[in-house]
Amino acid sequence: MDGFDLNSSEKADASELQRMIAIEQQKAQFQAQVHNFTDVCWDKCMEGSPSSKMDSRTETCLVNCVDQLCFIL
Amino acid sequence: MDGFGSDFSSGAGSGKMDTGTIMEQVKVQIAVANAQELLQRMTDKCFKKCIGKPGGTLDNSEQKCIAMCMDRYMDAWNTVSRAYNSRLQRERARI
Repeated sequence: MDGFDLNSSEKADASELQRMIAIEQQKAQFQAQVHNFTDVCWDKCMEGSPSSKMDSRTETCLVNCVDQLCFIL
Repeated sequence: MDGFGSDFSSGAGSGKMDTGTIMEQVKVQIAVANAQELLQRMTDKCFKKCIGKPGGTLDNSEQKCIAMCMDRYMDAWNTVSRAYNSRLQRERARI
């Protein structure tokens, strides 16, 4: 079981790694939430056939939808 | 399970772990998972919007619809991302 004990510089590396991974995890959680919100708000805001451009009314709807979801959660 | 440290390439770091390489791999894996999630949800929405009765192939109008739908889905994703980010910043500023 020799390899499990870390020396002090390895410990420093490990805790730095933990810190950096925690940051990436936070980013990943944010993106996962964006996926969920987009899924719900797409259904609410995109009516009919897809258009060639995103119009401002749809954009506003999406923003409002996100705000409402954040308020509920 | 011999030598935990030997799982990682020995690099410029002071310990046995090459944190740079590990973090690169972590970021790539997360990015790939994110892209897969996006593609899966986009396919679901655009299939529902664009494909009526499934035929043997995608006709021209269906292909065009899917192309526009995918662009709009990514627009929507970006809008939601910005809106959510703004909301989080506002909430943090209150604390």
